[in-house]
Amino acid sequence: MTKTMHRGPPPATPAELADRGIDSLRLGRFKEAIEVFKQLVRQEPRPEWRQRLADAYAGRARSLVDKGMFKEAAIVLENTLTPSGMIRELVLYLNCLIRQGQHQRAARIAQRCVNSGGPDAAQVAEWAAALSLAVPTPMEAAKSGDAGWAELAHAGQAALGAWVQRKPSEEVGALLGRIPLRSSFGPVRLILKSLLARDAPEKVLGLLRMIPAGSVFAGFRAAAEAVLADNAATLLERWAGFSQAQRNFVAEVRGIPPAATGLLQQTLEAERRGPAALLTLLLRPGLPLADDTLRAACLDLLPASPNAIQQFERRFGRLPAPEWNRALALAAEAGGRWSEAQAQWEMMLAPLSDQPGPEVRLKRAVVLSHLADLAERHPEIEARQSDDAVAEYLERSLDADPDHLPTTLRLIEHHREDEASVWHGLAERAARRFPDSTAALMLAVDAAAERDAYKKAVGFARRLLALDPINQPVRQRMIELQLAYARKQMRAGRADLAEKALGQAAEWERPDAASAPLRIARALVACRDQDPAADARLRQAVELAGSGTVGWFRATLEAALMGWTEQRRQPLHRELAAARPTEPERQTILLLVGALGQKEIHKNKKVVKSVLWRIDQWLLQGVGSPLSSAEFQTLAACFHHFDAFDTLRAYAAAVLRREPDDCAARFYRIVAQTRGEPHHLSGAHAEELSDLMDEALDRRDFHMANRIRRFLPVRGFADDDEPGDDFASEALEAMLEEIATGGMRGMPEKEIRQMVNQFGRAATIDRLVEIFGDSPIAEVLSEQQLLQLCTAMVARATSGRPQATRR
Amino acid sequence: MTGGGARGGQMARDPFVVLGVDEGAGDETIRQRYLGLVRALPPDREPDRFQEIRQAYEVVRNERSRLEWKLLHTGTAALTRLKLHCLKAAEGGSRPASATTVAALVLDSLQQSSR
Repeated sequence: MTKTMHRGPPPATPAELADRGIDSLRLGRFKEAIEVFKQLVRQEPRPEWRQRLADAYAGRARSLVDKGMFKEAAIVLENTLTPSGMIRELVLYLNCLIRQGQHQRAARIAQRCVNSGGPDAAQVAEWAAALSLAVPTPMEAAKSGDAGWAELAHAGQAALGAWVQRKPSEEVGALLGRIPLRSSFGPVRLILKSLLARDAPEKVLGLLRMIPAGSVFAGFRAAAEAVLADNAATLLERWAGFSQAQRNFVAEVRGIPPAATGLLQQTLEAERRGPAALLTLLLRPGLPLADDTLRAACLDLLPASPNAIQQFERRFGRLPAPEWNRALALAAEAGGRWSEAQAQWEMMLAPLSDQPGPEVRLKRAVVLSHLADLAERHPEIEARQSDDAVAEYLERSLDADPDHLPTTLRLIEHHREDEASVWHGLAERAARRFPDSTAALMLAVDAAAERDAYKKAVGFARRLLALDPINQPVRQRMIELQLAYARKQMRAGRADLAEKALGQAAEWERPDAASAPLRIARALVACRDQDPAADARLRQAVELAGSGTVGWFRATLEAALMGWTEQRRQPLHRELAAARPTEPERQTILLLVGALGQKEIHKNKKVVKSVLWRIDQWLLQGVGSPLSSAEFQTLAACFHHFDAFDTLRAYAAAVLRREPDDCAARFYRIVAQTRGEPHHLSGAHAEELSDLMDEALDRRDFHMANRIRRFLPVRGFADDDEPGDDFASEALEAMLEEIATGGMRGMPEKEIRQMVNQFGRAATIDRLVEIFGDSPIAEVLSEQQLLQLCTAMVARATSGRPQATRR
Repeated sequence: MTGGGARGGQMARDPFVVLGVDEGAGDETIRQRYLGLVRALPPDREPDRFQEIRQAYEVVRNERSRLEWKLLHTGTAALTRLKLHCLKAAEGGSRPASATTVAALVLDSLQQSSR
């Protein structure tokens, strides 16, 4: 019978073991690597395996340190001890010893190894220096023959000792003089020198900055900087991030009493727990601080913890009503309870309205202006006496402090969008009240120009330029205003006044940048006077305006704006026609669009249209121009404004050929197809616009999103308002009509009446909101508008008249 | 803490503390202090400090803006002042630390450098 022998896998060869060990090292499996290389070294103490074993011990020690196991890490590192007494990762080993409180031992080892060479020799020397100062020990380095280092250590210890014992600064300075800056004790010299010379902070801080952030003395340096900080706030900032040892040092050197640092410590800890904990601490009696300091700190905290008001009053006495209201108002704001905040601020203001004195008025003005801020951002803040809370609060604020320019400007800007007559008047009054304010004067210029009071606008611009003569945009605006005034006079048949205005405008031209429109206008006025040189002047001006089609277009347009008849413009038309064959370049098209964008021309839509059609064909030749997205949008907006829909369509199509997904081009293609009429939009168009708006919002292109929103068929409802606003009664009527006639999927009035009878009015409205909430109508209406619509439908079905919308 | 609607939230620190002036200081005192600080900490050398000082000055430059700060800010400026009171040096000014404190600081500095 034969016995079967079961054999295990053959033992790994040394090469295989070494490979496995290297892999373990690479993967950070140091324990495994230690076992492998220990085995290999036992078999054959090859230098490279010994080296790998030391690497594994060092890796293992580092991972133990990361876990806070310093004692174990030190034991592991001791395995790397060489016959010469060196340990791998000596700095790490020293750190482990210090963490265990073995300071003396760490100091002795560091001294023994100083100047022992190796890649971390400089770092070891610094550690040895720091340890020799913190834990003075017998100089082993001196015994080992490094007398130079021992001498430095003596000097460092002596200097530090002298400073601690308050020896005269000359004596400390002399000891410091024995320490070279480049030595490992150099940072000590810099720190002590800075602490001695505290009268020149900038110079001293410069000394401290010479100590690098990675130095072992960096923590000492930070503490010294805090001692020297002349700004208490800087000290406070540093204090929060300091260790206890740093705090103790700073407190002792700056003479801060322990009771105060103790309170500061408690305050910082309570602060981390929140305002309530902080208030509990600060309201405690017997704290070592003045009552008014504590009261002010607690008062600041009350808005964050209003429940502590009673505690506050028990500690510091009754809180005056305005302070109480202020705290509650700020608390309400912090909690987003805007109506409550408004009520509290109003309560705070109530008693102030009867009190005289500039400070009280200023206080009123500040709070009212703040309420205007809140009203601007939060619709919950409602007006008390009007339907416009922002305007109401700004006006009340101005009543209290009429000399506050920012509030005045805000009120003007607030009315600018929708109430022309109001803002015009306000702007002029502001220019009178604040004659030295360029902002107020600029608004007055705009207001006067907007209502075609060009002479007045020129007057304001002149005052503005007296304050700011080199303001180039205002100089340009001045020329435009004078031009607009001259056109007005030409239309009124007063060429003499026009000529005078244009002459005055020429004073604002820069010698190196002549104004082409101005030159054209002056030449045209001269033409009227049969000036023989006028034709040559006009040709020069046209050249200046870009020559060719652009130049003659501008001349023709200027003539039209001056009221020249078609017949009178014939020579200009001929010139324009003669210039047209030249194909337009990108730059030329943009120049033309830029000219049409000028304020006083932009608003003369009818006149511009009467000339623009003459270059339609010429513009169409330029559809292939490589326009950027921004350039296309500017150009498209211009063509849209002046109803040049065929041109717009061609340009949009050209862009779409290059970029089929271009959002702006898709939008303007629809605008052109519907000839700018939203009610011509098909269902597919409306859907595409809706998608385009969503896309624009997704990429945060609010400009394009608003442009689309304004064009959508519900523009009458939403228009410039943010979603959530009520819509105009005409728009509501139109929509109801559309639902009633079946244009939109609605609900028969009879059915609504039945629902009201069965469930009541409120429940019916809620049901309708639910039904329409799932329909396409909801996509174009805000929640508030949908609610308003459903309320109106119920009202119409039951009594024929809409009733107040529920809120 | 910064309030939902109150102004002054953008100032990280109490402007009076930043400028080192008393809350009751007038326009001219504040202006002089501001100019002094700008001279000492010009924007090319200390851009961040300058920015902070400039911002603080804007917040307290006139009576109205100071009142805005006092009425509407919801920060913890008074608390900061309280902490500063705690840090206020005792009469007699500076003095050296004890040997034990210095030794502890050096050891602490060593440990910080190894983190």
